[in-house]
Amino acid sequence: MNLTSYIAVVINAICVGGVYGLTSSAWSFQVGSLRFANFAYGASLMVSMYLTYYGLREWNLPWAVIILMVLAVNFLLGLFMRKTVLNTNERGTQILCTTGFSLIMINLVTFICTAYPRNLSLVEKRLYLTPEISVGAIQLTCFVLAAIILFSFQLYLQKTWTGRAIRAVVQNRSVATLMGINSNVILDVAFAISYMMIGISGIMMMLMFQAEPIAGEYMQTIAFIVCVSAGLGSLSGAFYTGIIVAIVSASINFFIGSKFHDPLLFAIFVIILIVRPYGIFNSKKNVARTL
Amino acid sequence: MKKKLSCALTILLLATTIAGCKSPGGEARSNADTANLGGGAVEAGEMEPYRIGMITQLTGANSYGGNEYKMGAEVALELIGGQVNGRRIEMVFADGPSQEATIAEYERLYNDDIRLFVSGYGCIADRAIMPMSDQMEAVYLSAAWDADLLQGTSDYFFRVGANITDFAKNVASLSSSIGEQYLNKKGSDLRVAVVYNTRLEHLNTVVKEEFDKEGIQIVLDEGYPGDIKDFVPIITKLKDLEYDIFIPIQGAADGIPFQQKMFEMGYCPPVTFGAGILYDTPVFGDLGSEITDGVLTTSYPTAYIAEDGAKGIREFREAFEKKAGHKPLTHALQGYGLVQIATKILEQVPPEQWEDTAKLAETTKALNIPEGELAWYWGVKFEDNSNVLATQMVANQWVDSDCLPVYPDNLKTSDAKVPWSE
Repeated sequence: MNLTSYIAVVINAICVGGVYGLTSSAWSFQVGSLRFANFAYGASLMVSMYLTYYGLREWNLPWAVIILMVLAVNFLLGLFMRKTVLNTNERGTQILCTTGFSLIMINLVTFICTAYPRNLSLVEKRLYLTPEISVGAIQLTCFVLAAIILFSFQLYLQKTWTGRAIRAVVQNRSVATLMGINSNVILDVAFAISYMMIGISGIMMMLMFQAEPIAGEYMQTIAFIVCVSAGLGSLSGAFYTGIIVAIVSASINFFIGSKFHDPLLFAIFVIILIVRPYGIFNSKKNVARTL
Repeated sequence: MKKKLSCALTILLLATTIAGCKSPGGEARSNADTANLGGGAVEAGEMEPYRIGMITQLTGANSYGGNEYKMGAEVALELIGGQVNGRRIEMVFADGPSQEATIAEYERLYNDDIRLFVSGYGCIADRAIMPMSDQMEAVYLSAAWDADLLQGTSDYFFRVGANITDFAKNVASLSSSIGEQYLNKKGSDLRVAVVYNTRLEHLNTVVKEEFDKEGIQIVLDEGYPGDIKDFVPIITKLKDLEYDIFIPIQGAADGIPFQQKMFEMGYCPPVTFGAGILYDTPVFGDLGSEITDGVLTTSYPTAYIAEDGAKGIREFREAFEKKAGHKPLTHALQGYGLVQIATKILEQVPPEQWEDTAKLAETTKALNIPEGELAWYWGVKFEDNSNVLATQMVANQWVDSDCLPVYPDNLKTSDAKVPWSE
């Protein structure tokens, strides 16, 4: 093991972590800011991956159509969930209903597509920074796009009327309603937009990995670790923490062994929770509702 | 509105639950999934057809292997004309995509008076069926390879296929042979790197023990959980290591992206020797010859072993390709072999006595079929209910997307080229 190899592993991990970060930011937004405990998150991500696969390999659709299709399906799925399983403020009910919805989605996909993994069979070009250090072109592109999308979303929240309305509702729903904002509609739109981010994450995940019905469960676990470590509601924090988690994962795999990946990663997570229960990127004063 | 939506969702949930409850075996039941080559109704005076049960994964994640088993069994019946000693034979197939479904189907077929069973693909419930077969007095020919499959003595349950220990011994001994024959390295000088999915830890444990016995050094023993997506750290470790043979023990879900990533990173191990599972299937071949060419693999005897090595292998291959429209997987040969053995048992008992299950069980115990007599090459001879003549594995090499047997001498159709790049 040498330093050059480790640097190569870290650079690769940063690219993967960027996508983890985007994926987790959407969940952080849902859970931390909008206060919806959505445990159908991973299953929704998996559905987006399958839509991407089928669009590209089975239906031979052009990329523009696939992206629009995935975004539209996710937008509608987000709205549907808001009107049905997430049409309650009871946290316990949200968790139960979304978990049940997740099981329905996973089993439907297994029934329709079987559990056999679906792979786009893309051979990724390597971009060589030095003769020993390379990064995958697709992974690097996904990382850059993830950063752009998240930055754009932050701009949207800050500069547009709808974005400011979302922030107002997140900060104080009652006062926002008094100000003339239809809070329910704004929450519906915000949730549906976060689902579109899940759709984009699903497309990126499909480009980098392969789809199977349980693929979303792993990402949901990663998103949970990332979001809670970053501090619920901190979108940029979730992005940076996604990168940190990917680097830590790769370092465990590289130095210690992949068998120890899960126990060590979760041990670090527990330590973070004990030392900084409000998250790495949240201050004590500003818990849970930062945007 | 809310109430209507809730009602609609509840009805949808109930409907999918009922549909889900119906599917295991339901299709098999409703389609009367029976291979009967005798044709037509039973004539007066003719004995009822004798039915053999196979519960295999016809749906679900492993349906490709399950259906191969089924087709192999059907071909076996076709090639004997659907009868033994004048009495018709029928195969009854049932779908067992999960352990629970397999056991449920086993009980259902038993209640339908089936008393002779052969394993399906994956043998996922054979360990549970083992004690049941004795209590229910139904002969079960198992292809499961679990080391602890046989718990105590049994009168009705028989391990017909290979044992995981024999498979692992082959991995170690073939690695040693590759080292001596092609790399000019004896066992103690040979260094191997093993990468495996921890779901296959049970195989890796036995492989490691066998490597220890051969004196082979394991310079990397890298297990990873099945949900790992990023293989770059593991592949980078492999690149930095000095070793002779890379031994992956992987399934399709992780092995395919692993091989793709290795190819993308421009890394080719000195010698790759896949320990079965993925590495002898067409799914691996579909990666393309750029990735697969030169890769060695060990497996059960395949359908492409030398024609004079196993009686009837060519007939099986041709009949299967004609029936299925594609080349048979090793799984198809396993299904074929199991039914061949079942018919060998029935040949030795007068047809009017086939309902005497105790007699069938005694006959099974006393079977003595030499190697090469059956299409799957393995012989049959039971010691403590375990077949001691199912130990020979083959080594194959991928060349132009074909998996060619290269070892042992009596079963090979080609010579190995190791290392591939030279």
